[in-house]
Amino acid sequence: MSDQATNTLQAPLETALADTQQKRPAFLARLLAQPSTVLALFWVLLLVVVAIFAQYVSPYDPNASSVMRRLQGLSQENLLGTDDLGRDLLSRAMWGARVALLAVTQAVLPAMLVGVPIGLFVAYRGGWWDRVVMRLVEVEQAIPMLLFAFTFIAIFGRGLTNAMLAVSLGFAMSYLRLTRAVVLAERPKAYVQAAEIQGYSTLRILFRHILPNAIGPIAVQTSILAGVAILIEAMLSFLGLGVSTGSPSWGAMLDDARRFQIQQPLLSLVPGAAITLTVLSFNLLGDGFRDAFNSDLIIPKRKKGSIPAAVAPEPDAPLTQNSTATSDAVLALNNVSVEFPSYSGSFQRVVSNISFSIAPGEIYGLVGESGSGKSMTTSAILGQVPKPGRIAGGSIVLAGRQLVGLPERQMSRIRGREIGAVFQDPMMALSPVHKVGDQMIEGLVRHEGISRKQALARAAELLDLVGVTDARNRLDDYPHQFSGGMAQRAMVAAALICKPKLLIADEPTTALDVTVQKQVLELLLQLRGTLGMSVLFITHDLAVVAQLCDRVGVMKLGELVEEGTTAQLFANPEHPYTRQLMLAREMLDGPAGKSAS
Amino acid sequence: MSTSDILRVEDLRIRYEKGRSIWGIPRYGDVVHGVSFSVKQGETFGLVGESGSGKSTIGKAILRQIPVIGGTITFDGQRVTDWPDGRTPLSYRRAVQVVFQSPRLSLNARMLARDTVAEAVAFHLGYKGSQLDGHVAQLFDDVGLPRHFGERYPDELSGGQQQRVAIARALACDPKLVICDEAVSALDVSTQAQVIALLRRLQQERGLSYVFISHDLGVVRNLCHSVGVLQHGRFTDLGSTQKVFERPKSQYTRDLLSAIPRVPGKAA
Repeated sequence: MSDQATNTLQAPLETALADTQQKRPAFLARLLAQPSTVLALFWVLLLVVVAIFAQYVSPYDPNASSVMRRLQGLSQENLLGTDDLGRDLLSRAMWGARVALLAVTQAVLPAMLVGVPIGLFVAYRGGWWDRVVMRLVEVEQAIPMLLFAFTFIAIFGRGLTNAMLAVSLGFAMSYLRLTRAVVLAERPKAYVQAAEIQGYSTLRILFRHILPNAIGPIAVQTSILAGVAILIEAMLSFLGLGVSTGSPSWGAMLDDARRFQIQQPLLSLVPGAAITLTVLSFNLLGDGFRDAFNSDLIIPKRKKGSIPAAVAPEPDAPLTQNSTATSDAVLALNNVSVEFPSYSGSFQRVVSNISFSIAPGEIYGLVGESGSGKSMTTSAILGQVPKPGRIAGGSIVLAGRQLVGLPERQMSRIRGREIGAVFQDPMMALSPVHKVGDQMIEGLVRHEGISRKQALARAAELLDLVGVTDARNRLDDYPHQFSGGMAQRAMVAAALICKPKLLIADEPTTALDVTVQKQVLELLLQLRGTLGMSVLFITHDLAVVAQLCDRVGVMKLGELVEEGTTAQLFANPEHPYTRQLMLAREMLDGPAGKSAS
Repeated sequence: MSTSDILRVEDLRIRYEKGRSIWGIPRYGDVVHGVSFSVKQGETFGLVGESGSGKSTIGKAILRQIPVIGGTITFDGQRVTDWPDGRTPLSYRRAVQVVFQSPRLSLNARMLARDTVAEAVAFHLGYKGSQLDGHVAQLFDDVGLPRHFGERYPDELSGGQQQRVAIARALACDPKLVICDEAVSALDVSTQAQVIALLRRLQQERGLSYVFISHDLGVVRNLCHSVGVLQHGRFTDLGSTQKVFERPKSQYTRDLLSAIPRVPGKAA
């Protein structure tokens, strides 16, 4: 166990990556990058200010009636008109905002303070605590919330607070359920286990570790419940069960409006608009919270002017010397670039000017570490670059046909039919609720319009070809009845079913055990022999490439840094990065050839 | 079994709950059937096997994450398996730590890297203020992470950097034994090499012992002093790394060894 190799190995990619790693914008910045959320936030804040300072900002006393000025329309004195007693509608709507927000506070705050801790507790303790509490919650949720409100009012007397406490009880249950669900999802995660192994107390784990990760869903829920609370308050006040008669509330205003709205439509329009806008704002805010908490989602800054369309390949871009894109190549990439918008709004290239080609019957290996752009290259070939990313230029020619710029309709016919694809985790790629056979033939039946029976016969043939025993019966099995290796064989068979010209295998053995990996690699070699198929093999593992591929391209930070035949590359790696990769592999395994004994 | 054994596992048997009948009576499946091994002070024991072989389960039992149904685990003279479930002395928590497979998942996404490490130090050692800051900075230095990365959240760090934070957290209170559960499997090859070099350096500096759980035989051969090869919850081979790799007793171990893909030598 010598350390000599340690000294020669510099941090190759990591440092380079760390430099490009941008600091993620803070939560608030992410929130404010969404126009709809900003509008909603503005409306809610405005409402809060008006509600708190109603006595200062409202032009009139909300209860000052004037028989002389009944049912006025829009005017200088009464901006939004007056009601049947001559009270100013704008002033009443402003005071109504106070009632509405009071209702929200009374319904949501106690619910959160009760529901969240209990949810945390029962989910973490589990067992009988969980079972008993959850059954009680289910009983409570089976009773309509309004019925609860009526009961509370009957017992404690009429009034907004009593009604809202009843609503609060119902809200507490939804907080409890939500928190419990989030905790149950977070609990098995490694960071919680790590905290347990540190010996932290249950309380610390719940409040310092799990709760911050549950804040997102809880914030979304709060926003939505706030909207619901406003609707319920309006409903109860409309029925005369909420605020006392004559008090300004949006619901009560609607009630007052009933008899006179033919004469003066503003009577119902004003409170109606207030309720709609406010509930809508709370819901939009909920959506905004969700997106802002989801830190994987890039919210690009809006820039004035339209986003430029994908650019044509630059004519002076350097061509990789080995990319002799011959016309008989199955796949030829020429100067392909893929770019994504960054936080600042400008586009960053994750793949830049990649050129290579694959001959018929050739297995081409694309090697690189995470962030090298190798998987994004596959996405580009399959026409599946996830939005808001895009192909920024270059050409991808599959058997003489240009794929760049092809509409999605045609691209979806090419996928599965002319290009087959196998991905890393077979269990993720297969739908658990459908039979393996049905999943294999779906494309065949759709694309080639042959009968189900014929398709199943072909699927069985292929399963047999890839070495699944008892193929015909296994078509009726569900994915969970397959082992990892068998499932990956089934995936390969599914990819072959439309006789594609090219098979793309994106890290197809990374999730598999070594013995299974060996079988899958042998399978690919054997299939190339029998079917004469071309394979694009994406991997991070040079050792796998050495076993399988005819030619290899090495990718680093979006660029193809070296290309050559496998023998050539391993015998004489030219690029320092390739040498580093090989050195790293050697360091891990010990000197090559040692195991040959 | 010499006195230099830091960890001794004897006849360990573990089962898991497969499901429950409609009456709530659990049904069990056995995952580990009578496994025995020991880890010497300052050495690395490799636990190798394919998925489902029970290797991670053994790690969880040592970390007291799951109950055992038979056998004993002895750490530093203490009979770990005698403690009731759910009651683990903090001294054991300080002494036995873990590094998980996915660094991204094993760090709290809403905590700064610095805070993740500082919490463990403050919790166990009660440090505050500048003493705490100094200790955390020292840990960052030890794992080769620039100190200013402490002000980042996990998703602002690369995989290797995240794993270094996780290692710093594990080292917070000077443990004697670290369970590395597939600790490098999720990393890029060049990053793996660096993390392995780090683990080896820390072992030399601090006299750490590791239980290195992995499916990658190449890495195990390179890092471990002794190895146990698991299949279906039993050892098919157990002994010094050299012995197991050069003269494997079982066909299963030979199959595993022959399945390792290898890079051809530059001269070849």
